[in-house]
Amino acid sequence: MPLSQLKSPEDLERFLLENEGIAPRDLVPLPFPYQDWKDDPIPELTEDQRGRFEVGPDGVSAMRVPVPTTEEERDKLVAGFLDGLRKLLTKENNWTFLQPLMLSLENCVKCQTCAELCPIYTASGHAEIYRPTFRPEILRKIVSRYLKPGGGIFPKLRGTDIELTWDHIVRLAELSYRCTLCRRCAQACPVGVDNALITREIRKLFSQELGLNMPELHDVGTIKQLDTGSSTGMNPAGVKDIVEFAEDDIREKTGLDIKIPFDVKDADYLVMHNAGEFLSWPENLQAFAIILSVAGVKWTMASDLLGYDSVNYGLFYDDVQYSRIAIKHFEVAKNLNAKRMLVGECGHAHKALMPIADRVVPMELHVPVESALVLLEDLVVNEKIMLDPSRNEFPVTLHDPCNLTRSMGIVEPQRNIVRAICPQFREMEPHGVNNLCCGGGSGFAVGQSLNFPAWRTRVSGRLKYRQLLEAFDDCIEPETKKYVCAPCSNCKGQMRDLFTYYEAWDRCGMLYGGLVELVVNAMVDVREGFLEWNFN
Amino acid sequence: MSLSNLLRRRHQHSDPAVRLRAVAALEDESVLVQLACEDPDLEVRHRAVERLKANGMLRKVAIEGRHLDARLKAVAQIDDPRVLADIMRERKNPALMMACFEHIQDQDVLESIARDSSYNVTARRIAINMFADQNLLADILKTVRSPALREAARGRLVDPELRETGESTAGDEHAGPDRHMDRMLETYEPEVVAEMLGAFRDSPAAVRGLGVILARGGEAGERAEEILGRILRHAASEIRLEALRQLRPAAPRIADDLRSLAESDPDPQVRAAVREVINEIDKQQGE
Amino acid sequence: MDTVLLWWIWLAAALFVFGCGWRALNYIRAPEHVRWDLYPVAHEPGRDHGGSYLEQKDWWTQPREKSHWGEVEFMFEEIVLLRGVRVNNRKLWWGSLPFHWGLYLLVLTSMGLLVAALGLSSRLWLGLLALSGGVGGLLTAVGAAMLLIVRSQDPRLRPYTTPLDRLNLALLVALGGLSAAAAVVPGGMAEAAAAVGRLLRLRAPEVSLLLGLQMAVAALFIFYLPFTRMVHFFSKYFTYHAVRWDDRPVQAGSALERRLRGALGFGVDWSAEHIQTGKSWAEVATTMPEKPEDPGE
Repeated sequence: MPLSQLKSPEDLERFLLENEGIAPRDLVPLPFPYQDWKDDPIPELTEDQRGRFEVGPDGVSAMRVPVPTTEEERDKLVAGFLDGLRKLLTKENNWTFLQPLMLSLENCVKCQTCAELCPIYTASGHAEIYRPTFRPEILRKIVSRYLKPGGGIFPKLRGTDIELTWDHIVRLAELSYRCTLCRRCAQACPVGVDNALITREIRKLFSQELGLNMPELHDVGTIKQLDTGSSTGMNPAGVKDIVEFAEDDIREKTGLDIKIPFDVKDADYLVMHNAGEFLSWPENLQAFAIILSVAGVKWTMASDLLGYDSVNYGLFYDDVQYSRIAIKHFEVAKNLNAKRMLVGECGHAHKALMPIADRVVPMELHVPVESALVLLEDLVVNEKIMLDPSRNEFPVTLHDPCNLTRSMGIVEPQRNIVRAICPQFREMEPHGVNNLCCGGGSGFAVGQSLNFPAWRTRVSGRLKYRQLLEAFDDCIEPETKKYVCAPCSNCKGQMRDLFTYYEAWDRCGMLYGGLVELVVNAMVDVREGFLEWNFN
Repeated sequence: MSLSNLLRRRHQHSDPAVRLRAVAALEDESVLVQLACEDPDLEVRHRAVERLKANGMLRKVAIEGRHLDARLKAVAQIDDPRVLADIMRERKNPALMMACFEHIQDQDVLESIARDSSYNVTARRIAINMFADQNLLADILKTVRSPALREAARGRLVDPELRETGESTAGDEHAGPDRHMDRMLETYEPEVVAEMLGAFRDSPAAVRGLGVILARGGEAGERAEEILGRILRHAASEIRLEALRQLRPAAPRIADDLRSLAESDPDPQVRAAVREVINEIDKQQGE
Repeated sequence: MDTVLLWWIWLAAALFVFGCGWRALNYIRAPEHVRWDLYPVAHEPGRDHGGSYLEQKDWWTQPREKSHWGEVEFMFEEIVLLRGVRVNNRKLWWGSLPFHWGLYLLVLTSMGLLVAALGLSSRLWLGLLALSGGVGGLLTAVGAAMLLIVRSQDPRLRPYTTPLDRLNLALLVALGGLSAAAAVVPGGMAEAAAAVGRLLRLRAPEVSLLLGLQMAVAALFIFYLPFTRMVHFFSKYFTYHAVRWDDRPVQAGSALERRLRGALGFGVDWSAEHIQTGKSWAEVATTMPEKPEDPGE
């Protein structure tokens, strides 16, 4: 449905229900060497899948919501949704976000100042369903119509003319998983409204009331983590096994005899890694171990359940799951009497363990939490480890994870490190607190089912990929090997999929990785070649 | 003349020539240290360093200075090797380290650097390389765990008996992670384990682990075979040999690669091992 | 008619105060929420890059520095210059800026009339009020008209603009025009000051048709304002100070800690399987959920 046909508020509802798919021709074009790039369309679900799972207004499924089989089931879900919406606006059920939510729901002046800052809205060629105000506006209509006194009076005049059905609800639910919660829209809003927050609250309503959410975040995310200790399924014995292989590898690769300590009491730092690093990027785990050991830091990891996985996907969709995991994390730290927790390279783990946990975890469990980037800055800038920047003589740019910069204001430490060890560092534009999301935020990077990954690489990650090409436009040829430093596990997961889809290694010689790997690559005490230049 | 300059002291003047003249007359060492550490003009920094005499003040410049040139100049003026050693412990800077070592000949100081784990490995290795005393080197070989330091000590030992004593005393305490393979394969999908081990390709144990997965077959086995095939081009010959050992069950499938490796591998031991495998393949095919 | 106007204006004023007060109270009385700060935070001093105190080593041991001047500077740019709209939505800014300036001037004029009614009614003062009222009214009318046009034509804004929104803007055009006319008509401000004086003494205002119409429309505007999103004029204080600039860490024994502890005692009645309905937040957060079945592919 073209934008020109959107004339009135009633058309928003029609758009929600009638829109189908995003055409590749609408996607924002990419610069050289992709000027002739042709995107494959986002695959449609098969007939069998359509029979079993609902899709959003773009034909994509992130949540794998089962198709209700009867009208009664649909009605029950609609009633449940409205119950949930009521609860979302009560202090008892939503003390965590009630004030920010009320402010955002009640004060949007619909000026659309936020729209151009949304990377997903922009990348899709301005698809209306991805406009930052679209889903909040649908929610406002529902709130006004069904929850406010006099909701049915003059609905056309007030723009509250909506008759809620299951189709409305399920499409709204799916749309809540088309925003990475990057909050660029919130930065632009002159009134202070936060559309990302409203989106998150929509996700929460569906999860906490109807039990509908993205399976990778819930069933094989938070539930698995609470059961086995990690969202990867890794149990305490498994983590120690992997660590022994890592130690063996470090010894052979670097000539350093490093022992990764577990469960040491009274350590200065309890290091909390995203367990995804262990399986997908173990060099990150190794690099941390090398740096901390060489610098003589008194550190430990924990083998207690949840103690070795800093991930907390509840941050993205469910306050109850979030709280359960956060409390467990702090219990582990308390049991070990750690002086501080040190958060490794994971953006959302930073946010989950630092500002959010501060008001959710009871005071008696509080342990100070510090970003690893701050400690690393101290070690690098104050020469507590010996570095030779000439070992990193290749173009490097720095990706800013949204949770670190825009949501927490940790901007300079990582830059001071990269400037010190990478002679050919160049910034992306925009960067820092104005960064562009990688497109994998809010859990998208772990969304692997049905056609969601295809949407992620083509739409939500599009602007970031364009930005990377622009950062290296003076040396984009594949013969010049270049490095995208991304100090965040979820961002790296998204980069991996972006680089695969866009053939970044073959076309541009572009590799991604963490920050600590760059540090170790420059360490004089380590044999040269810690960074391996291959993409597989 | 700007108003701000009128209000400042001469060593804070915006004109470096004025600051230079001020440095020549300054008696306050703390101010000289500050200028040496932070002044944006090279001449001013160097002149300030030259005016400093006390090792303690020069140490401060070497550690806290913002500009490497001033820090190196300060190091060159220090005459106490213990102070130089202390600088290396406080600040792990390669140029500073080399400059410090140029002025350390004292064997006691070198020994303390070699044995003290608060120094980085490279500094300790350099210290070992500067030892003359064979008994000291043998003791280092016996007591120090770091492979890099043991290699340095071994390299300096002339007496084969002393070298052998050192090797046999410091046993390998690493039981090896191979024993965890069964448990890992119970916990995770073999494909996941294969990918994870593939990332540890410098580890002989990981290479052996890939062999275990290869033997199981299936998709994971194919992936393990693929990874092991790449490890045949690893930089370290021991790792290539281990990969070859693990690839033996798959040898007929990769015969062409092996034939190429038999000619191109830089290590004669590896080439011999590869030829042995090729001969076995040819014999089986002949039968 | 004048008596009707008297009671209408007082009713509107009372409802305005009550309505805005009630809405503000709703925000004030909301429970302490989880941190949701957004950077750059204006009171972080010397942090042009948008950095926070979390960039400091051992941040919990460092003294907190806050720059209130930073907040004032930010709010001035936002309120007076509409900086965010200028940078990100220039097309709308051309109408929005005069509109807002017009309203600010009309508010100042109204306050000036109060002062005039209480005694300061020199020719100079009334002349200044005529100028501010005239310019304010004109800017309001022109700005509101531009916004009305943009919101009716621009396909980005059209679907998000209800008929009621258009009516509101039309009313503001009328208000602006009437205010400008009433301000510049000879003797207009003197009449208005006298009318305000009588209103304060609960007397019928005894005004001309033009001024009467202007007052009635102004009263209508403030009557319904608390029920609309135009309350953003004070909600902004909360969106910034209570949410995006609220970077306070919790201190042991503080009022914040006490309120948060109270919230952990709230009862939860979410219905999803993984939540134990009926228990308190503290109980739910420390009870593990059961594992669901795998939904399959």
